[in-house]
Amino acid sequence: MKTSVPSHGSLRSYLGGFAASLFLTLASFGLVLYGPHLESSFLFGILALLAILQITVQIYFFLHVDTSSEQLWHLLPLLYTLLIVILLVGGTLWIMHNANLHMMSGMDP
Amino acid sequence: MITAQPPLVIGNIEREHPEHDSVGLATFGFWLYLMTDCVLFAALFATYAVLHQNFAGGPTGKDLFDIPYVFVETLCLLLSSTTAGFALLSMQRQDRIRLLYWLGLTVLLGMGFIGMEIHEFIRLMSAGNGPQRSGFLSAFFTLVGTHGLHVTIGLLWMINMILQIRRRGITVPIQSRLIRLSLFWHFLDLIWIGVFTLVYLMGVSS
Repeated sequence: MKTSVPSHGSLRSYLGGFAASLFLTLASFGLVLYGPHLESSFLFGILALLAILQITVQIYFFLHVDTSSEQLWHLLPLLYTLLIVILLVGGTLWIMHNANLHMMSGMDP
Repeated sequence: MITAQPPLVIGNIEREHPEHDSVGLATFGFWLYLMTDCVLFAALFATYAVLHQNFAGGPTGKDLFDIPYVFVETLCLLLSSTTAGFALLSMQRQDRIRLLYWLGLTVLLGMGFIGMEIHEFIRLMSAGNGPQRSGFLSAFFTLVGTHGLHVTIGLLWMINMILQIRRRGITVPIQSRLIRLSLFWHFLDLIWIGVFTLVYLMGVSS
């Protein structure tokens, strides 16, 4: 098994990661503080997208995980964990939403 | 190091002993731990998502959260993640002074973050809005508190590393530990992106 040390990047990768993260953070906070009044589901969609983008940026620039063959052993557990996280969070929300619906029936909203 | 040889750097070890890639293995093992930590946080995020509207007649996120304050916290942590990266670059160049400088700056920024978080917790609790107030606040304190606990442990680890570097220099085991510490620190900044988006930004907008 090849488990190479993750490369520690370069000054450029850290500065690039910082600049991109700062921009995405400013976009998220700016949207909430100064943005136009948006439908909340639409706003949440944009915020979630910005967060996912920033997480991806930081995994690439700070943790130096990419699709190269030497990073495969770091990428595979990450993707598997992503699957577990989606099942865990999605499944929880789904079940609890259903449970709430059934508990509410017969009650005034 | 007793001998007059310059301390080895990671790249040399791999070239000289390709069969013993112990630093790589340790890094990989720590990476797997971080993945399990991801699952821990996923469970806490899921709990928060389920309970986020159970206010029990108490205050909502809109009443409690101070977004500009959280923005400064976020900036502290993002900057500290970047300076931790600079520390690792100095380590690679065997530049002990700069390494200590960047690690020290990372510790200060991390302390700024955790200090602000503790201040926020005290402000909430002294107004009677502690974790016992509602399901929403229980989930909030558990999620944000667990992240804060991780940051605190990271800070203790970093201070420990500063003392080790001052005593022993940039040896191979210390490099190996610094690589894992930087992974841990970057990981905590990743989790914080989820926290400020889901808890704070969505909390004041709903």
